[in-house]
Amino acid sequence: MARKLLDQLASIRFFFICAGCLLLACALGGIVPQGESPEEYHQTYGRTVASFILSLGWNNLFKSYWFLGLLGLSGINLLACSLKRYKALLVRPGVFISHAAILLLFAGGIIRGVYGQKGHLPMNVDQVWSGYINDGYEEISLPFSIKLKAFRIHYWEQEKHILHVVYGDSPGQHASAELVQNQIAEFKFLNLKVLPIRFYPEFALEGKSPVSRSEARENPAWELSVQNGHGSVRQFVFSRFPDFHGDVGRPFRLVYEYVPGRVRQFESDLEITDTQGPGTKQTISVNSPMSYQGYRLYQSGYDPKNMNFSSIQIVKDPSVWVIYTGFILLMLGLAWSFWR
Amino acid sequence: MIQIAFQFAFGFSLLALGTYVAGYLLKKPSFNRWVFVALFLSWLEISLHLLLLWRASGHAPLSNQYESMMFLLWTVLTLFVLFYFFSKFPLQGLVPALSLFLVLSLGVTSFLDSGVAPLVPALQSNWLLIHVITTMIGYAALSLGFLGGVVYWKFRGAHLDEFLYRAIQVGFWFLALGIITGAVWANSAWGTYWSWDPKETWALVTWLFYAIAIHLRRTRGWKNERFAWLAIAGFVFVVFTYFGVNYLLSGLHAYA
Repeated sequence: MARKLLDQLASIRFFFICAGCLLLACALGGIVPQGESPEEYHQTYGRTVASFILSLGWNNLFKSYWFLGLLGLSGINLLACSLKRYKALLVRPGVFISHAAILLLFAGGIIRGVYGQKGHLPMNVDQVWSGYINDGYEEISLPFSIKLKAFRIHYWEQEKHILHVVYGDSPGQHASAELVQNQIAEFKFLNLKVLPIRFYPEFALEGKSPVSRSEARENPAWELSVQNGHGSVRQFVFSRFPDFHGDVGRPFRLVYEYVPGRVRQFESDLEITDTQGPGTKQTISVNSPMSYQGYRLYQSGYDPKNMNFSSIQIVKDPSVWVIYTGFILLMLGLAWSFWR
Repeated sequence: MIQIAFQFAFGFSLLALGTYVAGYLLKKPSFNRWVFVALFLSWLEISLHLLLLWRASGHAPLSNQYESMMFLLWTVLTLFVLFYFFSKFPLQGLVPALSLFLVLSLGVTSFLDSGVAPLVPALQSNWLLIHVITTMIGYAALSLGFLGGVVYWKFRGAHLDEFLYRAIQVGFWFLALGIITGAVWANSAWGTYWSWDPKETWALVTWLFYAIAIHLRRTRGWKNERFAWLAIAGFVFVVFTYFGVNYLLSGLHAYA
């Protein structure tokens, strides 16, 4: 009986069934967006299809029990196949190594799922954290504390504020100048001087007073002092509403264009204090994480509305070397298997 | 200058196709050598185009769909030359299909955004080179397998069947390496190997399809016509993974 079961589980027919089902399941999970809210599925697919997707769990397909079960069956098939044909190690070592490598990747995934830790640190400058928030929104304590000393954004090109003075309807009937606070931009042919007084990244009115709600460039606006032959007036220009003032009886219009900067890199200066160890200081950026006591800290994001905020991801993954060994063995096994 | 190199590459590909058609209609097989010359000139122009893109942007031209597509076409031609000169397979039959493939692909590429832009933070890593190059070599070999599958119906034979299998083995190996280097990069950048991002998922679907195809050949004897069908069907997955995912689905590979 056990022998017959092993034969069935190790059979190539069972492999085709598992691999085919896995392929279809992955294709389905690759088409249906994963992990979105029910409302988003309703908007995208309509009520009937969305209810179908949600009731079958296709919105979280890769975490569903049936998909994990399918992965498990595929692993059992590979294991049974390798055990049954262990003599093939001598005849076709490449095939055997490839299969063993995939089993190692499965094992790595299980180790990561059971023993791995992952969470994030939503930090403000000078804030100290002695734990992190995991995916279940629980705070998990750390054996050390982390302080965000500073956060910076570097740009390929800084943002630009361009003022266009349009004095006719024909193409080319405009002149432009860059707005810099308290530096007069002069347009002599119109006898026009413009003094930029203040920049409002997210313009809003509080009562009758203009304010900026945040540093995010959500509604960029400039307060200008405009001087021509008829005297001086104050006015606001808005990049998102270029025709806000309409025609105010002047022979020209002022149009403000906001050109966002191109982010080159963003980085955080971290300081780790450890009562049991030496602690350390390091700057992390995207693609350049830091390691401390088996934990890795990654620069994951920032908030354009708050330049003192940095989002840090923290991971402890004991499966790294199992997974990497699996990767290396898979490439070696396939090369050996194909080489002639 | 960058665009002129592209236009010359397109022109030489058209010339290769036109020369082949003329030779076929006039029954002059001697025209074939000029088809090869035109394809070689097209390869040179694509190489020049890539070098000029590199110089203009200051980074390897692998950071968006346009650049990776040009590199893919360069790799398809390079791999074809390597197979042609360094393997035993007689591949003359593949030349017209390759010329047509090149013309159509360059035509599609001309609609893509060819603007040069600085790298976003996520792409500033040496892994970009390794990941994109290995993946594109995989796609290029699988594309040659597809072309072999298409021409198989006209030039049947054991040699072509062997070529098909070898091209798919090379493509399968490099696609595996591309997926792995992507996973290692993701782990070094975000602390996770695998996010079930649509691009990752479809790359896995493609890899699984070819894994099944190779097993069908090895254990069920699916060779010749059947394997040619598998090579053609597999290419549908390659095209969807490379193109379809970018335009139809959103995810971490939005810039690819």
